Amino acid sequence: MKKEISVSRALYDDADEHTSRFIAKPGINEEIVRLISKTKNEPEWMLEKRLKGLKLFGETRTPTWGPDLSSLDFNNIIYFADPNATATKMWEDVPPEIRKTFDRLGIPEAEKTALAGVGAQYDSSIVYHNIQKSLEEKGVIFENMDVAVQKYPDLVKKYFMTNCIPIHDHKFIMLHAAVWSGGTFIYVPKNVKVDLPLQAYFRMNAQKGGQFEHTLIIVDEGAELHYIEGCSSPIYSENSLHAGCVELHVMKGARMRYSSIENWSKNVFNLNTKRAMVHEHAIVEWINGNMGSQRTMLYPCSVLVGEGARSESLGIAFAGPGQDQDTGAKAIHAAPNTSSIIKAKSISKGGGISTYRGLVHVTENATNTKSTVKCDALIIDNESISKTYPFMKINNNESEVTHEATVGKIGEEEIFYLMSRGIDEEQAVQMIVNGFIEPIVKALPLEYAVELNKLIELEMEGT
Amino acid sequence: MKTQTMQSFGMNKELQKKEARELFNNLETPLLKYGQGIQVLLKELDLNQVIAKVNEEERMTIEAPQGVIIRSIQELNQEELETYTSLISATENKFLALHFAILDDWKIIIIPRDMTVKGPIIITSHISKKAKAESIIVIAEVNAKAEIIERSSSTEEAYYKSQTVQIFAKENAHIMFSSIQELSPETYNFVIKRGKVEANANITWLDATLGSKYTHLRVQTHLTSLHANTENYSLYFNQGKQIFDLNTESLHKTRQTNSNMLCKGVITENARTIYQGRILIEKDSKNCKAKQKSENLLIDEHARCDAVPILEVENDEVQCSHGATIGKLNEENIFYFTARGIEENIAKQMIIAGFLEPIINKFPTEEIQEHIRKNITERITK
Repeated sequence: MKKEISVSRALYDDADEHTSRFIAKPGINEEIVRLISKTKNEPEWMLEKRLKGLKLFGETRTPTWGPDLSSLDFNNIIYFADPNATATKMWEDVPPEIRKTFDRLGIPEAEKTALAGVGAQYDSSIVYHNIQKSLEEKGVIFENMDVAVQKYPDLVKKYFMTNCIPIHDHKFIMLHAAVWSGGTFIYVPKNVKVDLPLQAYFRMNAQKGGQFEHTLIIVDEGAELHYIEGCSSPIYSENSLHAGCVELHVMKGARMRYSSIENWSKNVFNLNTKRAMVHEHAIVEWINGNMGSQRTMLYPCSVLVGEGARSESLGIAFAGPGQDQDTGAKAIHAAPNTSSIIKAKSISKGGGISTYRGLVHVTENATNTKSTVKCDALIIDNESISKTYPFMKINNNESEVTHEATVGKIGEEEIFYLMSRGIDEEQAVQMIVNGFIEPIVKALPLEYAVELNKLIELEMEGT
Repeated sequence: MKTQTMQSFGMNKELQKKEARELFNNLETPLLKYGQGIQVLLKELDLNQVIAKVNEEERMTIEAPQGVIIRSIQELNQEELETYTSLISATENKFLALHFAILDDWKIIIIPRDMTVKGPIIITSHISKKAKAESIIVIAEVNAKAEIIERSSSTEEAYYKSQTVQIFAKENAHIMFSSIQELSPETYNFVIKRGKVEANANITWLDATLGSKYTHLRVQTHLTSLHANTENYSLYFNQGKQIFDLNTESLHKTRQTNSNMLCKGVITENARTIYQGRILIEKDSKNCKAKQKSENLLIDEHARCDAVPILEVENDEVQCSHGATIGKLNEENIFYFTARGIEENIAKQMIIAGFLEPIINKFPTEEIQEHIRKNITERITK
């Protein structure tokens, strides 16, 4: 297992070599949407979905309640690029701070170039195929989303942007529906427990083509899955908009953990949507780290539709200079005896803004519901900002909902304590920050935890 | 626009009303939408009906101990007018434009320098018909101390009531402003209260929201100088189809200012409460302490509660916390009582009374406290 993890950061393999080499012009129109669909040889219903999404997108205004999106120009974004056509950049074009971070994290050369989107493809096919084989034996489907549309039309048609995240959900989902490309499709059959965390690194071409990637995961009754998305080392992207969509269907008695560490380069608008439908006695766990991007709007949502369903969200956001991290979690209790726990931590530094925005909604029939929300924010300097906007909508009298939040700076006494024991100030601050984020780091697989810790150390340098 | 409206107050009251009326006609009715689908729809409320039926006969009355100065709006000079009407303006929204368009009943209370007023100043308002607007201005001069009790009631003929309160607490002044609102369940009620707190001064707001069909209560405190302090204790008991839309805000505009907000309430039958709290700590407001808490009990199946406690902190030298809970009556507590031979109904009553007591006993006189307790007990047993 150890060995597999150590090489598993490969971003893609060579599975998708049949697509034509093509980059669309910036901007979006019907022609492009039709072209995407045609290139992928999609069934008619998918094209219809795309066109409907496009129409809704044109009719809907950009939301103004969150971070400032005024510098986001929809007409200046390339909505479709053939993955093979993009890998022509030079290593020298990659911004120096990203190169520096790669070096500091000790990422292997081959992988560095892959992460930066400049290198030849990093070959992980051997590992990939081994895992693929063991999964196949259990009947697990683990496929590129584009391929899944062709290979598993019934499953995809039933679950793809239907009752979990419908295409009219909000402006960026409408856009996503129109131009989505790549991503992951996973189906875990009844009572199958996948003991190895599945990682998005195995996605074929997903990173390169994938600023609008779609993840659809169905964990059938009694099954278990841990899925890891993204990458803790920075991903350099020239494209400034990332509008992904993640749909999870966690069936009766199933259990799913979805971990994601997002670290897009700091030019990116990360406007991502993640939602889980959680059925009877099923459990969903969200673990989220948001480090990168200039603007993030991400509120993973659990819709507890079955009796006794449970949801747990752990989130950590780091907002450095120029960053506005608007993240949080939503729990919609739509059935009796459901429970949710939301824990969010944020660090603001160097003028960064971190915002917790969340929702706990208890519908009229969701009796005997329990929900706890706890937010802690750390502000490192006088330039930075922290905001908390929790929404609570409670429509029955058989529920217990609590929310708590604190905002403050690192205690001088704590720093003094450490310094009096011979630790220098910078290191003392670092130790306290590490302690602050520990509950979230603990929930991650070891290699991620180590990387996340290192990243935060890098970001904290010089405070 | 704003200054123009203000200036015309003293010079020509009718002109000022006319301007507000024009604003009213031009402004859109604000949507009472608070994000994430939380909103209030007042389908039946007809603001044009309000403007057509203004009640000019009934007036607030004031009982004030010796030394307190009560003045009319005409008695303020131009400069005073501009200063003391500066916290609230008709230009803000349609409800406030309406307020100033129909406003005739002003009360200006001045607590002179260094005076500690013995006994409460009591403002009483009872309206028995139509629509009415009231404005209260409290000016607490340096070192002044006073307690003000404001009681409002109405009959079912009263359709609409709107009220503004502006309090200016100058250096080292201490003002406690308590409101006991027992309007008829037929009356729409719009209240905007704002306070400006200067160095070492304090405003304590107490609110008992008990009556009305719909209450729109906004309490906002501007902490503008060193060591300014505010406290806000609010309770509500919500019944029938009442809707309470409550909002309390502490704005820390400078360093070393403190605030504490606590709201406790009980929602019964088909009633609904929306509670929003907000703490804003501006960039240079270092060493501030701010706390906010809201606790809500949902008693009956169709009772609803939405809570949105907001924290906005723009510097690192602060201690801030907020919290909100929405829950039901604790069954173990009820069992404790029933096991001792107390009927379930009575047990519930006692638990509710106990839950609200920490706020009730902050009200200034024994008589008022007893009055609030009685109001709640009577309505529980109804």
